[in-house]
Amino acid sequence: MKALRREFVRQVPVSAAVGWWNQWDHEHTLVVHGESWLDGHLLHEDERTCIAFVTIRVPIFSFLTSTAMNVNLKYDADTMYTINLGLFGIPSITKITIREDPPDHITHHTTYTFFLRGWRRLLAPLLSPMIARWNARVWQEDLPLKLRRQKMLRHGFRDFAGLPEKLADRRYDGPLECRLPIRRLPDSPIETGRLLG
Amino acid sequence: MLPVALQRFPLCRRDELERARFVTRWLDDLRDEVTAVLLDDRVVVRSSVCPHFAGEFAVDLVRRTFRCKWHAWEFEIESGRCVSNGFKGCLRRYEADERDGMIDVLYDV
Repeated sequence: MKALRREFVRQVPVSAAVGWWNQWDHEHTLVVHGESWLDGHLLHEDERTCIAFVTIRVPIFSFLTSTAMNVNLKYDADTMYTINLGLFGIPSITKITIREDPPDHITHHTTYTFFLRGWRRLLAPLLSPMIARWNARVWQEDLPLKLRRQKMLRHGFRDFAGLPEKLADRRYDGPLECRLPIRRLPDSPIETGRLLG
Repeated sequence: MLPVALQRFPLCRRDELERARFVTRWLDDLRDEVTAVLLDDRVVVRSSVCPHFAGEFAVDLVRRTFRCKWHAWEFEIESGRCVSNGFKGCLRRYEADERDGMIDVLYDV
């Protein structure tokens, strides 16, 4: 079996809380990444795990779509894995680490590993640029969200409430945290659990 | 004369708003991003930070709504209420005042 590996390291001036929020806020994928993510159904989610069916448009070969099983695992404070079985039945593991140092500045490290067996080894030259295209596009689409959310959190923004009423409270220098799972309304379009009945 | 606690925060010129129909600005001193919209020749100013996760709004002048670019939550500009889901919160409205061709946001600090 051939393992195709691609790594991407980026830095961005936001907290780890914002980085993890972006990774685990599944609802935005269907809007912000709507060109790439066509559909998503959460089957299960808790504070460490998320299992979902997702349908994506294949990068470069955009006439192709692929429905995949995604399992996200928050492995430790700095690391998550996404285990995916998707296009052509190719299994893959994506490892994401987010390290915050100094405060409000993260290094975001993504490693994709695709496991190619038999004839699928022939796909390696195609997969490599597809992974790079996918990663670059998603990163660029997510970047303004992270920067804006970081700014608002530092002005005292609270989810489902907004900025504080009092002007004096619109400044927050304390620690930021991201509690999983990300809170959603009951009528969320991501349809949590519906496919499990 | 304004009540003592109300402070003025300059937003934009009236002619700029008339040309563009809406103006969105981050106001450093107010520490909020606000959008002024011309509705039937009235100036309506609301916070344009989505109360869900702090998303950015697109302005739909036909539907008279703000639509969040992050999660597609939609709010009526006039009432500030959410019309796309069961969220009960409301967008903050700011008083606006015109003086010498400038539109100011008024807020009780």
